[in-house]
Amino acid sequence: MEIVRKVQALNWRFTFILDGVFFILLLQAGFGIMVSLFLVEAVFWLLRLTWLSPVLLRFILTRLVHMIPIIVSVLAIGFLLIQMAPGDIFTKMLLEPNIRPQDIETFRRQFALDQPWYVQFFLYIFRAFQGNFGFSIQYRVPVFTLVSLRAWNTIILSVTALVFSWGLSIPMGIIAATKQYKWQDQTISVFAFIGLAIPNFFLAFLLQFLLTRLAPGAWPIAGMRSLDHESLSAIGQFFDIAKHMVLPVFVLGTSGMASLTRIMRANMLDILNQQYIVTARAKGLSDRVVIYRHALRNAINPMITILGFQIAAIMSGAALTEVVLSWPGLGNLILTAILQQDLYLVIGSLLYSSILLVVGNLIADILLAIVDPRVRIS
Amino acid sequence: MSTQDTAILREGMTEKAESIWNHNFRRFRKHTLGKTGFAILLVLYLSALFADFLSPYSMSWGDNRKPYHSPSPVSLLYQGPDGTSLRPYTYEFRIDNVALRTYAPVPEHTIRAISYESRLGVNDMRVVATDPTPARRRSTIRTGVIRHYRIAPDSPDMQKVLWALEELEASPDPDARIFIELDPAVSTAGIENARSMVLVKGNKNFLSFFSRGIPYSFLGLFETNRHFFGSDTGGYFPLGTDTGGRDLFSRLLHGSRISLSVGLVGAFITIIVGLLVGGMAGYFGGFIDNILMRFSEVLISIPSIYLLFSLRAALPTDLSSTEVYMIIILILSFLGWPSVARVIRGQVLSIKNEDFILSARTMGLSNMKIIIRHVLPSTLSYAIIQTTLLIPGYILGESALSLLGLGISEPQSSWGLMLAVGRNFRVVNDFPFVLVPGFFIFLAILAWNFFGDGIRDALDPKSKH
Repeated sequence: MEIVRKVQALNWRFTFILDGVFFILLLQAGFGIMVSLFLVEAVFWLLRLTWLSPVLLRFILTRLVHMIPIIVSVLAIGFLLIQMAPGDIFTKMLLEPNIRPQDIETFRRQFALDQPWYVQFFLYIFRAFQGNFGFSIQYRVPVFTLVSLRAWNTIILSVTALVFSWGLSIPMGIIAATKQYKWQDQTISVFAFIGLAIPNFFLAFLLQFLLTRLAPGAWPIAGMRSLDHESLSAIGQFFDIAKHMVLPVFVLGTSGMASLTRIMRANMLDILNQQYIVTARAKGLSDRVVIYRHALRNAINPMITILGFQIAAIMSGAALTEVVLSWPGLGNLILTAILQQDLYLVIGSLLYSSILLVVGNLIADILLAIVDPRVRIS
Repeated sequence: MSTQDTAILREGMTEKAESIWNHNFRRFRKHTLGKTGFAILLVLYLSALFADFLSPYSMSWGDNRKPYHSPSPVSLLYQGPDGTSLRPYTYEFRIDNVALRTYAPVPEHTIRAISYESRLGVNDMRVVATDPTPARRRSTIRTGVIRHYRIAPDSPDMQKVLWALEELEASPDPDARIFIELDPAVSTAGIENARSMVLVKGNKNFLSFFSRGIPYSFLGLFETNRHFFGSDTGGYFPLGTDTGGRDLFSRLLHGSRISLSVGLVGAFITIIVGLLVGGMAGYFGGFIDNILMRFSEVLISIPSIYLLFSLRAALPTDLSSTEVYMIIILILSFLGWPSVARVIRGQVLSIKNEDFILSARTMGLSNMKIIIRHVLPSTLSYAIIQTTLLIPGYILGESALSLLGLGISEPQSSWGLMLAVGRNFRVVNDFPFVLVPGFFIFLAILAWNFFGDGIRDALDPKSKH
């Protein structure tokens, strides 16, 4: 009996700890951080833009102009690839007995699928300027509506994962650098190596397995909303989504965390060996002031360059995580669209994902230009 | 300067200078993690090479009556009639609840006939005859044998089997086994007959090294049926089985051939393309540079997974496994070259104004020759570092594609494909051993990362220790 009670107590304590961990993750994953990040970013940006130096303005404008040919080329590549694929979405319809072949011809003409790819391409661009991004044949809704809805889900996921991984890896990098070769550093390096090597999808499977085994039914392991999502209050809906987000955010965040921590550690070590840090220490400043006021600010600067690469990595990682954890994002959408050969949906997702990436890079570049004057001038 | 100093100096000057590769090798040997990674990789790649020999079964052989058989528990000591001896064995398990796929040991003192060396295709190794009554047993065996091993009831082979059965029944040993050599195989309608057979009493499968199993061609040199370890009588699954009753360990080893080589070949192709494109762009500059770099810029501005999906979708699905393999490699290389080319271009831009390039040009070498013989070798150390750092990503890419059903398909095997079952979390919950390939992906990527770190620290003079 004694043993049973002990096990029960242990179990209770375990679920309690688990709840605690989840709560922390929930806070990390909370929209609050994300929305505030967005707001701060937007306000920050606007403020800057008002008293921008003309150099910075010109920098941003040139970058925007550079984006246009890239986006158009992405479109062309998308059209070319889809055209290379054997058959189209209507090929499967030919097998259905209740659809007449004439109707399929009409469909094809309506969607301009009987034209060569370059005609479709220019037609698409022409219509896109009128705000018409085509129609999803599979879902029977305009592509723009569907893709922007799904893209929003991807943005929520990616940005939260970015906040999560940056929020953890920068302190971890600082600790690893200040406690170089001590046990803290060793532990962090081990975790970084594991995080670097563990595939996202495998981590997702492992976490799903652990959750179903340890706390069955306690935490959602896939999807974005519960079945009763619609019946919840606004706050309830918010927490429902936040709860569902914990697993994908954790999976996605850890993958980027490893390399970030290592880079942050290296930066910090670089800075800590500089002369002015020695001077600061010699002046008798406390460790805290030296590390956080003098070293950290300079060590963070190069990290902004990394942000650009991080956005690309996290977009790719997000797609895979979405598919594995059935998060209704862009990655999930493009996969089904590709399997169904839903032409405009594929193009739309490809376009949207690359716009997200390019805009993300632009924001990183602008941040860098604001922080580092050398970038603006060259 | 004293005479002694000059002597030392002179002595030092007569020493042959250490070559750069010796120097690099020496630096690599000091890198513990790099060496560890290299050792792991060596084991992984060698086991991929000798997958046929090391795995107890073949890649596609499966007993479809044993789906999700859990890893066989092995007992090392055998308590036989002549006392305890070191003879590892595992019990033969039989499914006892088809819905839940739970297994129970086959009762002792039943006779099983298990054959191997037959060439009937996939499910040709079968457990037959567990009926307790002798009369029924005989008939079951006959039909079983006829069905699975194509031995005609009136053939002398059938008689041999029946004699062996009687001998087995008479034997006092509860784990007696009898090995029967059958007549040389007679090929009928392209199907080869069984060549030998094992009759087993009891429920133990004894394990041994160099056990007999499914015949295979050893590195294409000779035909053999000896496997490194396993049980002559089957029924031993080191890591369990999958939904088709196929041995996960065998599939893991065979799958590693694809999963591990994709990274190696893909990274090699990427580097070659990246070197050529980057070299040309940097060396010629101007229009060529512009075109190539704009193109790579476009490719970089699509998130790689999205491009990966689209590229795979653009290619037909009904391809042979070799074609799929080639296509995966090509797609991965297509995704990887732009970033390599951009860095190489930057390096070439700084190299091309060096004196040795100028002298090569004055000697009248053609541009391509200068690029390949003089410019690109200077970027070699970067290329080698980059190759080792690209490979883990490619291993991941292949697994992701196969996981989503866009890559390697059944009956071929790859680690990603084996993990695809993990998407069904009910299966994972009931049979967690199906996730084992994930650990191997993890291990391979970890090892490549370690190795890559070691290589980078050894080759890159700027890297810190």
